[in-house]
Amino acid sequence: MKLEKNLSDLEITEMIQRNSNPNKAIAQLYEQHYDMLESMVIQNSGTEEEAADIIQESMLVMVQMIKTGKFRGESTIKSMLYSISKNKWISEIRRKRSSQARHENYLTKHEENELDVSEAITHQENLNFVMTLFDKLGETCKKILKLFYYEDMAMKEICEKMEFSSEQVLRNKKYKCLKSLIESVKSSPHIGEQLLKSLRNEK
Amino acid sequence: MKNKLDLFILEDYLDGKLSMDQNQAIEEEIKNNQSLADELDALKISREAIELAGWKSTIQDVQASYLSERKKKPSDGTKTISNFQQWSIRVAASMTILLVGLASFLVISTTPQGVNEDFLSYNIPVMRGESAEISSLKKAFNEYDFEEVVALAKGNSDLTIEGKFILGMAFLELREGKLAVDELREIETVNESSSEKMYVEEIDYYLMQGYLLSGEYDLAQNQLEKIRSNPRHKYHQTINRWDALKIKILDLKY
Repeated sequence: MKLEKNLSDLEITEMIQRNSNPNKAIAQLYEQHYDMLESMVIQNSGTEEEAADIIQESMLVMVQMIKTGKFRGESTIKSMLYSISKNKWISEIRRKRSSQARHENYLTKHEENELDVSEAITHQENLNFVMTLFDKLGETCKKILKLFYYEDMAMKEICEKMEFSSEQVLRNKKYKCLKSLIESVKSSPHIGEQLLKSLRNEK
Repeated sequence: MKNKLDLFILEDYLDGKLSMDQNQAIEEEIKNNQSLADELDALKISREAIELAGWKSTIQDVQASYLSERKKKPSDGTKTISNFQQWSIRVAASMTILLVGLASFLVISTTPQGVNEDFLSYNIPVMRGESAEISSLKKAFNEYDFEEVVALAKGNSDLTIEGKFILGMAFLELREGKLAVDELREIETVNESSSEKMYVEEIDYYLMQGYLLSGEYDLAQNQLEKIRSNPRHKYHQTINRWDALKIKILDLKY
């Protein structure tokens, strides 16, 4: 992972918003911030492996905040990532229900970005649940939907790449895949009133 | 709006592809149709989750690659190095390279010939009233005819201490280290049993040159230490630590 120069926060944010060269944008986040985030977890009784898990989840929250416009550059990516990772690590400590008292001081410190981060993490947890529903779809469905919604490929390109007989066949398949996921979401008891409320607030 | 049509229209609505009138109609429908509102919410979070699943795969791949690259780096174990530490390491590395370079240069450039050239040639003072033997030896020496000095000395079976010393100096000029050492050691032996000791400090110095010429670097080092340990020695100022280092290098090299 050799990078020629460090990209600015603005450049990284724009690359993520536009889905342009996502690998490069994420690689920059790792190069610039991984060590700092890992130190934070390790200095607060975590291991390297736990830090790796927390950082991976935090990167996803960061991306989600950029994509949904909740990160607009008022603070730096560094401070936002730090807040997200710290928040997630606190939740993990609580979940483990061990040495809580020892971390009491640490837990009660308030950081900037805390409210936004806390909301983003809650939303992320709901999205994680929908992602598990997505994972249960067939491989073809997952591939079509990822190519269309993540890689932003046109139907014609996907048709050629996946060797569908026609674009109409592909459209029908994509419709069925998406509909299947939506039905799973709607019928899931996990998707409660809180999530629906938060979604309506975003409109 | 029903079934397939619903989903296509809702996607167009989310993507902003509908006209203003169509938008208003949809929003009115959503207000009055809970089922359509739920469908829109589910579509919205599903699309977000699909896209995020793509990002999740990218993040997992980048993290695996980043951690693998980091393991290969020799600096593993020192997680965060400050700028000052990085600067210090660079300075230390540069100094090490410089010192290794200097040491290599010294080892390569230090030769017996080079070290011998640093020695002072002996200047023989001419005095009035000297014997014919000494006078002719000194004359030949001062005219740099060192072979003549050797020839004259060989023709005299009863050479004085002064004559032996001039012969020793001539051998040094002719780069005959072993012969020079023999003459100078002979004077040393005489000095040991004599109350009037002659050329003592000169012998200390020129024996060092003799040993160097004959390749006996450890003995040369002994002579050097003898001079360096005595600040009042006549030749103390003429040798320094560099000379000691050079002789040490010669001892290691040969």
